[in-house]
Amino acid sequence: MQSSSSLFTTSQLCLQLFLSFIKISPTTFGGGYAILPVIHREITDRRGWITPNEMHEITAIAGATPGGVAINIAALVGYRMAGIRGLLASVTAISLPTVMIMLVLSILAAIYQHSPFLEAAMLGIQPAIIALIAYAAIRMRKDVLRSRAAWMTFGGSCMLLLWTSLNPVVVIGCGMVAGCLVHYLQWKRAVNRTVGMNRK
Amino acid sequence: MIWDLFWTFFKLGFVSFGGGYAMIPLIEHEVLQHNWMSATEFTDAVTLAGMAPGSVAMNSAVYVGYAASGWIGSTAASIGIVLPSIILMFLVATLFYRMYHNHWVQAALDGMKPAVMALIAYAAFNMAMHSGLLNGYARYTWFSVVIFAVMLFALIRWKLHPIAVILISGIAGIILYV
Repeated sequence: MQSSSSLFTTSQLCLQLFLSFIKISPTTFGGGYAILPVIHREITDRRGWITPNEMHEITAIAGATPGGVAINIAALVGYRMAGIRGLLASVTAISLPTVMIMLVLSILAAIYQHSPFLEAAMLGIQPAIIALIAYAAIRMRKDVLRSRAAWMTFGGSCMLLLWTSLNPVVVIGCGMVAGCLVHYLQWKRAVNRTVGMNRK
Repeated sequence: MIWDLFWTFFKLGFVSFGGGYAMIPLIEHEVLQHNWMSATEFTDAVTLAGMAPGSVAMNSAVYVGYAASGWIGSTAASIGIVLPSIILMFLVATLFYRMYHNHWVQAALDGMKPAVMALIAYAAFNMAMHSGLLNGYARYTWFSVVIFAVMLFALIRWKLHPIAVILISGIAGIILYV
């Protein structure tokens, strides 16, 4: 499990995780999926700790379990790298700075909430956050949508989300069932083919 | 009071599927029931929580905790909302990495990944529709579309750092709107 343990001891690895996530934390504007490009860049591109494909899997699991996506991803990456200690280090690091910032903001709220500069800056940042979220989806496309079945699952999920008011977790559940179904059909076809060849 | 804050957000943490704005109605219900804030105060709190870095749900917890009983309340509420994540992710992670190479788990993941991708795309779409940025042909509609397009291009083509994206668009906002 601890692929890099030959290079670092667990404590050193925890420190590295802590530093990485404490650096990411204050930049997670918009929360949730807007944070994905930042985490990808630090964990897979820069540090090379986790392969892009495994990162997509971690994203899928983090989205399917309760709690903030960012915190869940930090927890899974931490656990993957350094077990329970890594999990605690990563979650602490990703929560602490935003809690501090929010605490200071709560105190300053009455004074600065109606500052025209802040409001203008926020109005500019809002479309950029939408761009960050869109980029998170685009980034997954290359690795995820590689088969016809994956395209169909993607299209079906989009339709469910747009036209029904199903809970997102139910949509992820449907994806899970679809994945198993495709796997079963492929396996059955492979069995039929070998049986057919044996008959000849 | 402190224990109440912790316990309320601890319970909310377990049911917060999807995180973010999906949780706001649940938090509002609890806040009004416990009389921690008024409904208008809570709306202001959510706006501020959305503007600050970090998850909306967690920031709301910090603000509600502060309004209810100062920084100790904030600490109790934020520990309360984070603890369920830690417990659940620990369970999921131990289970997941034990079954990681099972071919059924892999098949389920193969189906989940495109579904989550659709969820992310939908989150972007939803935010664009509900942010009020696309209402009519106001001046800021055009500016917003331009900022969105330029930033998306910069991310894909030049691999611009996300922090730079936030900073540049914030400065652009100040130049365009003040």
